[in-house]
Amino acid sequence: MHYSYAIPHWFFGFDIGMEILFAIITCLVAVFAFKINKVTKERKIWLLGVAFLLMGLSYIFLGGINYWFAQIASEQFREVSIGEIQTVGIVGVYLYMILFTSGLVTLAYLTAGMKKGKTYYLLFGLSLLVIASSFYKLITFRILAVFLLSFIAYQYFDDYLKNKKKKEFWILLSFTILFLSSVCFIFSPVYYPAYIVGHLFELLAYIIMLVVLIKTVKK
Amino acid sequence: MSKKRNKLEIIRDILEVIKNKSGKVKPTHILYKSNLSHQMMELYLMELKEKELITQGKLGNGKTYFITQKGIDYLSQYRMISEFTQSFGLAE
Repeated sequence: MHYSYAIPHWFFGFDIGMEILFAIITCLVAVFAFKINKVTKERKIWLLGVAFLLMGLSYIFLGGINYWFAQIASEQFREVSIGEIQTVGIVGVYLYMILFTSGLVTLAYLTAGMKKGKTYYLLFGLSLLVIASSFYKLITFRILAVFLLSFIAYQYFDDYLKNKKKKEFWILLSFTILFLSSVCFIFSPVYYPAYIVGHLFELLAYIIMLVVLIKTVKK
Repeated sequence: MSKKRNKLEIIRDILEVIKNKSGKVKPTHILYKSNLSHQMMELYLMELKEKELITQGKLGNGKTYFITQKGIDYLSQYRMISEFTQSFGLAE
């Protein structure tokens, strides 16, 4: 599996900080969803909590991997190839890919209004199979994330067109920016600023989500 | 013409009917106040019982429904729950 990131040395640290922040925000959404689910016992709300918890855990692993890289990085630009990464790196990257994909699949299943457990099983299984059977696992994972995020953003766009509510618009915007960030990550192996721009897009998306959450809690 | 209520709004309306009647009410009163068909009302009451938002008992002759503490919590947090579900596209 040969797929590498060219990450500028100075960005190590910033990305870890951002990933921890993404983990905190997604876990906050999850905790809030579980809290609401305790009262409403709605499967949809519980699933939303699960989806964001999975994404939060994926960012914790990603932050952990990048911290590990930061510890071993010494050159101005370090070529990080998955083929070179041993035990910790491989386990961390795979866990990140599995958890993030699972979170997105859960969100796609939820936003599309699917109800059958079999459909979820099929979506989940196919997504993981696509990554597992690919030679370029990380790029396949990035393309799959783009596809799933475009689907989720489209579902929110559809909802927004139906209801035209401001609060729905902000979550639509947030997922659209997350989609753009995923597109950037596809190009990051050949164009390193894309890795930074991708992180900045992600930061913007999660800040919007956090503001929506804070406004909701204040009600 | 008033807009169609979503599921959370219907649940809120039923719980409010019970709460406003000192926390206990006969099914006919719920039917009259909640603006639902008998079949729909039965389905909602069954769901509310499963979610422990109400309990069913007997007071005098016939069924009576009581609001639980969880039901009261639902009403007090309704705005927040509604905002959250609408923002994340979960409102039915």
